[in-house]
Amino acid sequence: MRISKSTIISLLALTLILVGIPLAIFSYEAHRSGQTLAEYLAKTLKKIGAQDTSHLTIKSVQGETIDFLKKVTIGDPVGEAKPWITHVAIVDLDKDGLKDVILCDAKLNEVRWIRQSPAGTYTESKVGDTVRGPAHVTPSDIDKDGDIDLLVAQMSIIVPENDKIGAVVIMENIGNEKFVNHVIVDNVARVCDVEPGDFDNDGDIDLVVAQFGYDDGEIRWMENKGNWQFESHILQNLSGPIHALVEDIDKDGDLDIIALVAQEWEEIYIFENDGHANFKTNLVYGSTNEDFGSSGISLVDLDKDGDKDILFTNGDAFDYLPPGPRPWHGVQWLENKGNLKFEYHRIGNFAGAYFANGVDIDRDGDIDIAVVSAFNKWDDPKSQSMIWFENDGQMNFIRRNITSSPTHLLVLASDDMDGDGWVDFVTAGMHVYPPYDRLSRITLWKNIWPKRKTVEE
Amino acid sequence: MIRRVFIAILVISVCVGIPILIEWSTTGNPETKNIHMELFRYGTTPSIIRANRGDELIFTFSASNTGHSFLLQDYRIEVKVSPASEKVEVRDPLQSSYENIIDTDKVHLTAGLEGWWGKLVSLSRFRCHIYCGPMHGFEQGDLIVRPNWLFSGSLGLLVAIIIIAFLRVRWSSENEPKLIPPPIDLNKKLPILDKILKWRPLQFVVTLPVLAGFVLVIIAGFFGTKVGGRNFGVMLTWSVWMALLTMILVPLGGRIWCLVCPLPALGEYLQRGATVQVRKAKKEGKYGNRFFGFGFRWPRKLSGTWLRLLFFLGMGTLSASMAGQPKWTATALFSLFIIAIIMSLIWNLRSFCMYICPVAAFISLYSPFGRIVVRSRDTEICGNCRERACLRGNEKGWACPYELCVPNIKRNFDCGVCTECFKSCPYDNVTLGLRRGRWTERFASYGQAWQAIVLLVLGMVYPLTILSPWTVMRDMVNVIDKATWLEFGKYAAVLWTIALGVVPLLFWLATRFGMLLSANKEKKQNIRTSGIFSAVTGDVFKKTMPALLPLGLSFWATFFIATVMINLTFIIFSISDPFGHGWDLLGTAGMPWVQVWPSGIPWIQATLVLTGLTFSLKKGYQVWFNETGRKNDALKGFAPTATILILLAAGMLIYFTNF
Repeated sequence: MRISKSTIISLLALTLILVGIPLAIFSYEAHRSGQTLAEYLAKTLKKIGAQDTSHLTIKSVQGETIDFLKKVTIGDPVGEAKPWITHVAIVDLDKDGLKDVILCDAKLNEVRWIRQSPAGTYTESKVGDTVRGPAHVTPSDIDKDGDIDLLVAQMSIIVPENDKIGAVVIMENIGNEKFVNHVIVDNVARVCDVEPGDFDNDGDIDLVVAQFGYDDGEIRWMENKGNWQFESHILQNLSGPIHALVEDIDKDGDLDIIALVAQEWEEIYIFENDGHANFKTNLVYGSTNEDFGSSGISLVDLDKDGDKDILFTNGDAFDYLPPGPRPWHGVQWLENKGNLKFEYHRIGNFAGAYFANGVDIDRDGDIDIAVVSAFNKWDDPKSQSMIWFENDGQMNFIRRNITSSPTHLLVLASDDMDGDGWVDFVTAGMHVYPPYDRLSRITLWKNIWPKRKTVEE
Repeated sequence: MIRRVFIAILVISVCVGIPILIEWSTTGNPETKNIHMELFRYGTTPSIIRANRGDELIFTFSASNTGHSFLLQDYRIEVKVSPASEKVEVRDPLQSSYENIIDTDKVHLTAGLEGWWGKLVSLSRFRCHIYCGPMHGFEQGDLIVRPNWLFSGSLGLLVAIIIIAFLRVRWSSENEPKLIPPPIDLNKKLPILDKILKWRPLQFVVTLPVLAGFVLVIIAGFFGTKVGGRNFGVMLTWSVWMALLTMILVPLGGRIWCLVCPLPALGEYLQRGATVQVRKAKKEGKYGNRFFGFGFRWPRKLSGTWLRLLFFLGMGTLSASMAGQPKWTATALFSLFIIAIIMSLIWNLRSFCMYICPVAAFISLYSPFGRIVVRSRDTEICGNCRERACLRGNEKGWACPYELCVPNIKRNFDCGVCTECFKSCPYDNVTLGLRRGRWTERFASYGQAWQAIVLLVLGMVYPLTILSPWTVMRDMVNVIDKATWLEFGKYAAVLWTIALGVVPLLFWLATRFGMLLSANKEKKQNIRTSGIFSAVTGDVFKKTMPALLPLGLSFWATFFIATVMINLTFIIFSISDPFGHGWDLLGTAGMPWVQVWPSGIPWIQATLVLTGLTFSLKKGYQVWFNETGRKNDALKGFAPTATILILLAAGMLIYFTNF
């Protein structure tokens, strides 16, 4: 059978369109996300299919409640408003030897400082100028002048909004408890997180910025050019980055970036640094459930094998009508196996889980996990807003309740606030939807572990 | 002539003037109104705000679930509303700067816009500018300011059109209607076009880029962002392609889309075993070409337009969900693509297009408007032709995929303009014509008559549900995230009953009533004795139903013109970033959403409805004049059907201008 030239050309053209276009797009997307084509296809095809329920594998068992935390309200009272505290950080801001709390108040549009002075006495005041819709604050001596400055992520509007209204603000500590705002970049997709790190190894501190946006988000790193000037380098354009953490996760001597991208992607990326701030994108986790609800990420050597693992929660439920928990909400970790390979482990379910901290709560030598919930069934008074998973040392976890009041706990920070050697917690309320019967602003949870004396002995 | 023009102007002036005068005189004095807006997924309470020009409107806001916005572009105001916050943020949506955001608890607005155009604007639609779920794109409500010139004026114009139509009939002669000139033979006028039409690879070449677009649509639908307004698949399918079909391709080109349609393309290549070449049959048979596959004839019982009509109705019922969810759009299109391939290997020719394709249901029905026609140049040559190469195919061209013999093509409904007959005709007797004068197509079957009714109904249902100010309507069609299957089931049942039963029955009864009105005593008796559902009535019913086409198409155009004008920036956006993965191919991915002339949309919609009604009345009268041969009888005969059409048009006019 003779095949004409026109037939060959047309078949080539058809192949190009039916196979070439998809292949080109998939290859490009795979390359962008640091996957092989096969990995990319397997993952995206899974996403099209039925909802993945593998995350529902519960590893923890429910244990008895241990009463070891004493609740203390610190800072300004709740007052008439329903508080919207978007972030808290624990730091000795005035370097007086006592831990303070820095917080973002999205109702007041202020970054605020709850100063501990003298020990056990907390006084709240405003820091710097107004920041519209502050979402995250990170203490860092960015100008290397010996005091602690504050890196502030400005969303401008906290609730869903796609306009380019985000900004990065640095509050420069000029001494005498005074701060001056420097807007490093503005009119960008809403910013959720700013973290410091010297990515290009030039001795100054650069920034990585997670811009949630809404439909249009970004992750960028900002090269410090000195004199409060920064040059932006876009790493990714996906919507929904919540957190971008800095760590030498591959232990090659430079700082990498670990980012959680929520919205419809539900993925964790590592931007691998080659030491000169050239980043290679690696997708290390992606849920096949597009309603997974990724909510928070932190780094901790959970298995104590010498490298940092990734601890993360999924419990965001603002997408639902009404907002509320979903059965797949919970806590999990990615075990660092080296060479940027990670293994997924589910720790346990927790409705509305929003942020988890890996710390040795009971001082038994292993890392336990404290978790807060912002989207539990608040109409049920038994619904927990804070729990912890006790590690038995073999990476098996017992889930223990902590409290059901206050509700709507979006953020959690942990540190030894009173210097007694036991980790304490600070939580904050983000009361964006009813019920409003168990409100809180900032709560300090002092660790009064019943066995502590025994352990100390 | 001048007298008639003068009378027409006078009629219009009086008909439009009186309601405008009434509207003006009954509008109250400005006052202050406090309005609390509750914003939620997917709508607002109240959804329609009525005010008098000059009213001081004091708005307060609350949002019950997630953040929403109240975007009233005509008034250059966007209010960002957060749950659990009494304060709102106000900005000008036409300014890119965010420095002038105002924090406030109340928003003051004076009803009515400034300037000469502003004084004409009575209906301003507010929308939400914060994606809050799959149905977000359809959220809307109205601020209606009296005096509402458009509402009163367009209703007055409707009356004027009826009177002028009546007067034109009175003024016209009883003579036979003018002969329609034959179409302009474009092949003769434009030799280059003749060459192109006979160029073998033509269809393949023009289909190829559309196929590429189709592949992108499928990929975007399945793998792209779930935000419909940012997804190339959704935007291209529902805002570009359907709008192009409705407003340009079908009204001008008839079924010209079928020439480039990617849905049956791959199946056809497989069936033919060729892309551009022709394969001649080895031995004499039914066809002059060789085909792959079983080549069964499509079952006679399933032939006709019913199946594809039901497919269209099914897709139409689910359209809001498909437009709101990219995966649904991709699934629907990909399924059609696969069905077309499978069918081409089992049944002969383009059975998919003829009997199943829901798109063809739409295109085919409204194709008579198309100026582009395929006809035989000289009927005598065709009369002497024995080969029938156009139907059977030969070594130069494939057998007609639609089983048509060119001399029998008297209407646009069936021919998909594939251009094979231009190539296969050994006598160079096929022309691409440019139609002159009115269209004369008739319905050959009840299926087509039902098709006209169903599409007329859907043309009304789309704006009433998808672009509705009433949340309850939107919720009814929303099965994506509210999963109200019971409500949706009720909606579907009511829609199907109305579209397939109630409205056809109304038109049937109107036809029969018209027959009785227009007939003499003897005929009346015959009609009465023949029974309500007699074939005699059915025959006139089929002849009358083409009158529904102009109004039906105008209803569709009202929906898609609004869709395009609202979403144009999203269309440009999604071309630049087709999958919502952060691409920016054209540098337009970050552009802000601005609606194109939103205050003009109701005016355009009203104009379209009135134009559609005018042509429908004209067509209906022509049909009845051809049937009865007398002006008075034609008027009487068409009057009941015309009344239904006028009522439907009036209803939609009221909806577009006052809701």
